[in-house]
Amino acid sequence: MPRSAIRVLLVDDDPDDHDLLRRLLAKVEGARYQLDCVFTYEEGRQAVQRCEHDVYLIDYRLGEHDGIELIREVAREGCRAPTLLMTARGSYDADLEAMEAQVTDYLDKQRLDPVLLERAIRYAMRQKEVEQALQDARDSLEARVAERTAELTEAQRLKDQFMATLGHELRSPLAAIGNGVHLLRHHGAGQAAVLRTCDMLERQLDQVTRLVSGLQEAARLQSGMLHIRKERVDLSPLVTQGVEACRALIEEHRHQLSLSLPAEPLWVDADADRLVQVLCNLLENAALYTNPGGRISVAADRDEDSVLMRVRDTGIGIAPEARVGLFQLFTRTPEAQGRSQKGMGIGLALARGLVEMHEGSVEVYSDGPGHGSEFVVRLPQAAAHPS
Amino acid sequence: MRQRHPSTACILIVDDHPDLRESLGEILQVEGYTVALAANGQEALDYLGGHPLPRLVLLDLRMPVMDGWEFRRRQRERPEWAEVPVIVLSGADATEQRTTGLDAVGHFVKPVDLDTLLGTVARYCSD
Repeated sequence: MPRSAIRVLLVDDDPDDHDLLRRLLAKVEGARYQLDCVFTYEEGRQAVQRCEHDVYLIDYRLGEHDGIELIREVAREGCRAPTLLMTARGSYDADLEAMEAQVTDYLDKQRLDPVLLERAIRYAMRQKEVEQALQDARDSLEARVAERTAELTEAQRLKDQFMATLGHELRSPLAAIGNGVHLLRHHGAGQAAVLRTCDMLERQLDQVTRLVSGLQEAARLQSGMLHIRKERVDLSPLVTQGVEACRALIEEHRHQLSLSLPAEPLWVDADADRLVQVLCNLLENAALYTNPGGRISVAADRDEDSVLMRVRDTGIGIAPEARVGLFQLFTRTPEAQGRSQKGMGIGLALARGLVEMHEGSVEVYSDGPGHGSEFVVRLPQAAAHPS
Repeated sequence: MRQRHPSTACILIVDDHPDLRESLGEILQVEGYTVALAANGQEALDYLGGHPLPRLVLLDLRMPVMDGWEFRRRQRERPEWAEVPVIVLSGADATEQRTTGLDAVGHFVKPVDLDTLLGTVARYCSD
């Protein structure tokens, strides 16, 4: 029995029954009851709506109404407290009807004694507790199912969007290739024009190849088929290598680039090619999602036990709410989607996947749209290179 | 944007894909048209504001800085610019495009069938 008083509401139109119940409850040993009594169906209904009691004792006969109607009302109001139906004369039919109305128990007033009443209340409350626990478990399961469904729906939406973007992004290079073929076929007489067109065709083949490679990397990332080969390496030369690989793209967008590396080596156990790829992914984003003439700064340094690689830009920035799914495959922020760029929502997911394979993490900072962003790759620091 | 702006440009190509607009420009030039190039809607508006009006605009839709929809909206705000017909060249397929409100005289999905495009261009640029 709980230590605090059990709040009981009696709904009964006979004042003698109020006295009877009060006497019976007073005789129960070891439990405290707070008995509130109301006479009419309407009073009972209003009291039930307030859901303030632990147990409802309801007489079968309530003027024009009956107790079962009231109990149905209790259930409709969402009141979870147990209900005990009391009757002056036992009737099997009334008992069955009460059971169907989900009455917790059915008591014969003639035979009530303190022990029986206490026991009925205790069992009724216990039964309701079990029902409640079951209901809670069901609710929590439903909530989890809803959550998972939402996640799957979102994943599906991203995939659909990705397929649409992929189609779109492939169409431009294909169109350019088509133009090149047209030029060669119809007007390819001049040597300079042929060379120029061939250069363009090569660039477009590269672009399509990059799109397809990105697609394959995404597939590997999703199926857990990415592999790395770690060795002890100094991060700084890799940063330089990554910057050089992206320099043409950065210059094409007329961005100012600054690079800051420490004098001492930054040892990490890493797959050198993959780290260069991570930096390139971050740098490409910086270049593509910064309006021409922006600033991009790349730095490597260390704090207590990590080696850090930072890429900061003055670009379109990231809204706080967009940060949540930013590293999810195929995710593109609304700002990014508004720009027909080469972005497919693969680079960041891949970067994070690769960094996590190095037991590292990627953090993102931005003061919001229009205020640039910073990506920080954090890798475990390794001991000095074995000589 | 290509540096040279012909004084009597006939066709303005607006596309953020450099090789695409350059090669299309070259094809049109070989066909005898003069061509101006813009990498996005803003550059295209700047062009309209600073040069004799083109006879035709070939417009991509998804572009950074200013997309094709916004360009079209602003173009139609100025009555003298609104007269210039627009052909949309988009990467979107017919199911996802929002082209109904664009009021373009033609719509082509990339990669464009060049013979058909050249035929349509000829209709709007011949005297």
